[in-house]
Amino acid sequence: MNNFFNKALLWLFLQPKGLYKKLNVNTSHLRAILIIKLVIDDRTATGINRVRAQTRSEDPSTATMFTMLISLVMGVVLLGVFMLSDDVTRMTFYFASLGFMLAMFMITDFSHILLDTKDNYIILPKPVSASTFLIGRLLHIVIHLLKILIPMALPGFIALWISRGFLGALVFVPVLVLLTVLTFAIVNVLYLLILKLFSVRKINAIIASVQIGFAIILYGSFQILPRMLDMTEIENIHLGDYALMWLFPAYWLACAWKFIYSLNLEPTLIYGTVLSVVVPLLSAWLMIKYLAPSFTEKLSMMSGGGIEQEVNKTVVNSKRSSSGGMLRIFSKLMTSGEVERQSFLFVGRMVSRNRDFKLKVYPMVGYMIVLFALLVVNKWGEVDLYNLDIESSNLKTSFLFTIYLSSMICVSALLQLPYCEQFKAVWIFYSAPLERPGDIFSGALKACIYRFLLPFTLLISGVSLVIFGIEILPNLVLGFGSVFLIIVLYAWILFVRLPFSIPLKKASEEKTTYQNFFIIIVLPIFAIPQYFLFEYSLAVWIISGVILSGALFGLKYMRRIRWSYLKEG
Amino acid sequence: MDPIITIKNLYKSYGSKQVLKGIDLDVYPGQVIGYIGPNGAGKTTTVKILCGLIADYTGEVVIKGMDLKKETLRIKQLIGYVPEVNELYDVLTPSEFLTFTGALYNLSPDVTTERIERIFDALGMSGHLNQRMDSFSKGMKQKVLITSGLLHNPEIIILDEPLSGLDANSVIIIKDLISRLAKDGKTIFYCSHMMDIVEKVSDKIVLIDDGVIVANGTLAQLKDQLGDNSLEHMFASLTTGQGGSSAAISIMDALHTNSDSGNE
Repeated sequence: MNNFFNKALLWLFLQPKGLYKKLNVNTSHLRAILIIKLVIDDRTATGINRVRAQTRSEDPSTATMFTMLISLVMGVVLLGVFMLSDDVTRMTFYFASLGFMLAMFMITDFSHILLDTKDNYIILPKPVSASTFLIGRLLHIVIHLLKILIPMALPGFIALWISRGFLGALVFVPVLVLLTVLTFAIVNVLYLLILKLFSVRKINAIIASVQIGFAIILYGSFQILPRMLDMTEIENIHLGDYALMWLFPAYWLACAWKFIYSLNLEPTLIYGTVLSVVVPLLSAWLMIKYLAPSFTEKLSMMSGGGIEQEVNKTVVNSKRSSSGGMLRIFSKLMTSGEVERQSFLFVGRMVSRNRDFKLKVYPMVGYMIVLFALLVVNKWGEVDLYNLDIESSNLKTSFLFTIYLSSMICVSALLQLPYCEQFKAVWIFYSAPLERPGDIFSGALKACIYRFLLPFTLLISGVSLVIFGIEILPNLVLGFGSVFLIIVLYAWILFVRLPFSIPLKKASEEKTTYQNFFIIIVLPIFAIPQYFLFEYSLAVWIISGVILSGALFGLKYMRRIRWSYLKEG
Repeated sequence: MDPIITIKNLYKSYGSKQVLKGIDLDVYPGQVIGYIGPNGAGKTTTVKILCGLIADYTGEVVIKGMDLKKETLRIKQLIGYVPEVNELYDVLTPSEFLTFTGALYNLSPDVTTERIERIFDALGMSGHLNQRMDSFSKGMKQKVLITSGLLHNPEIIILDEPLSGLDANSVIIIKDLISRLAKDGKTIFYCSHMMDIVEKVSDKIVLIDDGVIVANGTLAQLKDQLGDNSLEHMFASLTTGQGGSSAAISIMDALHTNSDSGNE
């Protein structure tokens, strides 16, 4: 715990010794608990960090610093709203976006604190009083929150100081506290809702989806927010004109800030201030009184009994689920031979259920959608809609971009495929009497194509055919044929390791290199010639034929891969 | 002599599922109790109650004359708990984790450090004191947990499957340690389903199935009572209702089904 921030906060929170004594809190226990918790935080990769920690081999002992840095960057991005004209509107947008970011951070970063049942085994058997335990947990959460909140709100604080003087910035602080309490209460309710609606076992999967969504929103906001700055009309919005605004807590908080800062006795501002004080306090009270106990009860269910029933439920669900049925149907269509088919099913299931895999690959899907949307907005907008002409060079570029970039999802899946937390389970491939691992590889590749290429091929082809008509067909075939070939070639390079056979920690820089190489070199090799050949349908058909047979040959020949082809370790 | 642990009429349920259905048990100082039963029988729940992890039980648990519900902290100070392997913060080093444990048991840092070093020395773990535990084997983690359970020199030691995943050498060390601790007057509550070891280390065997105690006595008593030779047989006849051999026969039958379709 050599982080200055941790030390300072720890020191600060251990000061009110008299208060702790009154609460029956043992300060030396409290100190020990907080120190160990902060060390663990520093070394645990969670939320945002999780994605990063796996791309680097170094240990995530700087996790805290990284999270703080991300928060700071987010805080700077949020400053965009300061261009808005009137105070209340500006602060409403600011508090809304800050609250949203904060909630996302809480959901993704807090799961390991809120859902931690290890404490129950490690700390509770020790002679630690219940109040020490509770205060320790609470302070841990508060410290954790401050580490996100302070850097995120700092740019706003400074901006207010500059534009409104020190008083404006000072008033900002208590409002921020109210915002935090409110956000925390909302996140808690969300967690409870998840716990109520879904089985305890599914929580991690749901949190993973939230994390993926968060990553996409972050990426999207980095891409889209700066572009929004050009919009001139938005400056003239005055939220005070809309009665609907009363539904948004951020609006009350903005009113509260304005009220305290200006001491303007306008009724709107006073109502807003009252609401923004009463609601957070009320929700905090509700949280302590009703939500926290039922939360703890749920958690004890998680670590205690009831688990076996949950397991049975999961089994039944997966048998019934329709996507599982699709996977089985396609396994019959796309593979031949039992080993290849089972490998297809195995990889198809693993990639849709393994949490770490999803965290690495699924955000890519979101990035692609954002990128696609941007291309549509930026490029297609320039073309006269009544005179759609595929030869128009901008449109051509967008079209090719979309097709070729769609391959990145499948490539990143292939790159991630060897890595898994339970890498030791790979013994199954070695102990089984398999003559060659080729069937495993071709099944795995086909599963990846089914999951990560086929859907986009169908989607993009469908949209293109609707927009451009049948004459786009040869270029669609060539584009996706090339993508198919590229993926097969990549598989040949990458399949020197069995699927899910390497510890996650080892996912190294090698991956990034491959990925960059892919975007800079491999894609253009195929995409640029197609750009110039675009109009020559006959040539496009002939090359498509060559490329497709190459890809099919590569896929077929993959089954011949021998054990000796594998890389050691 | 008064019992050190008295359990009377202990009931516990999770939601609608009743896990303990009236446990009565007396444990005397210096005894080694082998608490055995199949998975889901309620072993771990009993242990969690004894360690103060679960408070919403009904019935009475008295330890050294103190009511568990009233004097939880004083009782916790008396107990050393060795949980199953995965219950530790493995991003820490043993030194960090154990110093933390010591602080929670109100040991002075100097005493903690010395004890950790000497115990680790004896367990052949000194070289690993400052390595992160995420790279440790099951056996190494178990040794850390055992150290954390003994650090404050408790009077009662509760072990939950302490030998799972240990190599033969460590098993010998732990078995030896258990008998020495018992000779030293410590009470040991040994929870397991590895019958052969329970048979060897325990003074008294308590068999639990479906939330009730189905047998309770010394090995000799149980043998007299049931006329069976090994505890494993008793275990099977008491808990599955049909004995282990019929399950084995069913498995053999399954293997002999039409071998042509066996590859599908």
